[in-house]
Amino acid sequence: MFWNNKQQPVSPQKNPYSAFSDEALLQVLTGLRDERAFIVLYDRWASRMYRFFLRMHGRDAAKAEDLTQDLFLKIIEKPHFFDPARRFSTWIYSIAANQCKNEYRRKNILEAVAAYPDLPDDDAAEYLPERLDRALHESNIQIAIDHLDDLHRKVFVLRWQEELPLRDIADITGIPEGTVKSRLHFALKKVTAHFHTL
Amino acid sequence: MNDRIQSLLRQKSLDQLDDAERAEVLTEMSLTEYDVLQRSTEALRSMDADAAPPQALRERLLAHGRAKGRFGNPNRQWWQRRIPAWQAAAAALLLAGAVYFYRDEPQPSVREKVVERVLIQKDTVFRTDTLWRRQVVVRYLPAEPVAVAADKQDDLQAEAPVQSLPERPGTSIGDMPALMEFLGDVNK
Repeated sequence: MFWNNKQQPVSPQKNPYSAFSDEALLQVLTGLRDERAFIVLYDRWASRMYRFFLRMHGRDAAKAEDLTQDLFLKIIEKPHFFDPARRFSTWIYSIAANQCKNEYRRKNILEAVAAYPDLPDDDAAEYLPERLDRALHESNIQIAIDHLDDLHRKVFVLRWQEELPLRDIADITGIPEGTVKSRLHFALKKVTAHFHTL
Repeated sequence: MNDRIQSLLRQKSLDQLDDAERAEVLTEMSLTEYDVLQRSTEALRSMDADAAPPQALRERLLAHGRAKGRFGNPNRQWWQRRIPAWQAAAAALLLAGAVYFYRDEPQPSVREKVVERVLIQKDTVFRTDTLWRRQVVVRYLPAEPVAVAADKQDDLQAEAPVQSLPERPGTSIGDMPALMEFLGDVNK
């Protein structure tokens, strides 16, 4: 629900920008500054980005909400920063990834990661399936992700939660695709190792 | 880990793999590891699937955008559009300055330019008096014989005789205004 120029509520079905691409919506937001374009953009991406922040910050809902708010404030304040040569999805994830990096720096949580144990032998994992149940698995996977450092957590979440292609992850994180692959592999190993320790 | 195995991780659990796929997985990792990864990634995708930011967040963002003037309504007329306060202040300042300067500026006046012109008038009319004043009428009249003594002959050579001309009767042109006017007016 949003407001037209007569301050009357308008149903989302009447939003003329509903069929616009993300990139076109941002162009409208830059040029016409029409809030209806922002509304469409928000409805498409807010939940997705909220979940991304949720995962990246140990399911801290308040933190995820704050970061989601900051992210969309940036879009409101500086839509002209969008490079039309890029895709909107990679642009918004780049902003979000930088927000996470800044947040990690602020909280200095990387120190805790250093205490993470080394990878166990593969042979010891033979009995793992029996030790896992769904609920436990879900709670443990967040712990496993939390134990990843920022660089690996980012590629892991982008790949396995957001299901982005490697090329996009490379664009978002600003690292070569080969490095994304190696970090992803290392992250998977660490997550696996976490379950080995259970 | 190649793209093929990553694709399998997203699509199939360990139980769903056929022999060829299991063999392919074994080139990269153990089957147990595959199972853990597959469960983890699946759980990751489904976890918090319904999580969403509170509705109030959107309202806060929209309120912020409106308050800061970040949103404009394209259907709004130009006089209804909101502009930043600094722009309004700048426009008012410019207007006040313009009024001030135009008010104090003196009205445009006619400039007098002194042009030196040499007027040559060839007209005897304006020189009439001068001409008449400077006119010298010399009349040569025959002298009357004068008896001079013989001993005075030498004195005659040294001293010119003083002649007093007898006043002749006549009328000066200056005493005749009609004639004067006739001669002085070139248009006649």
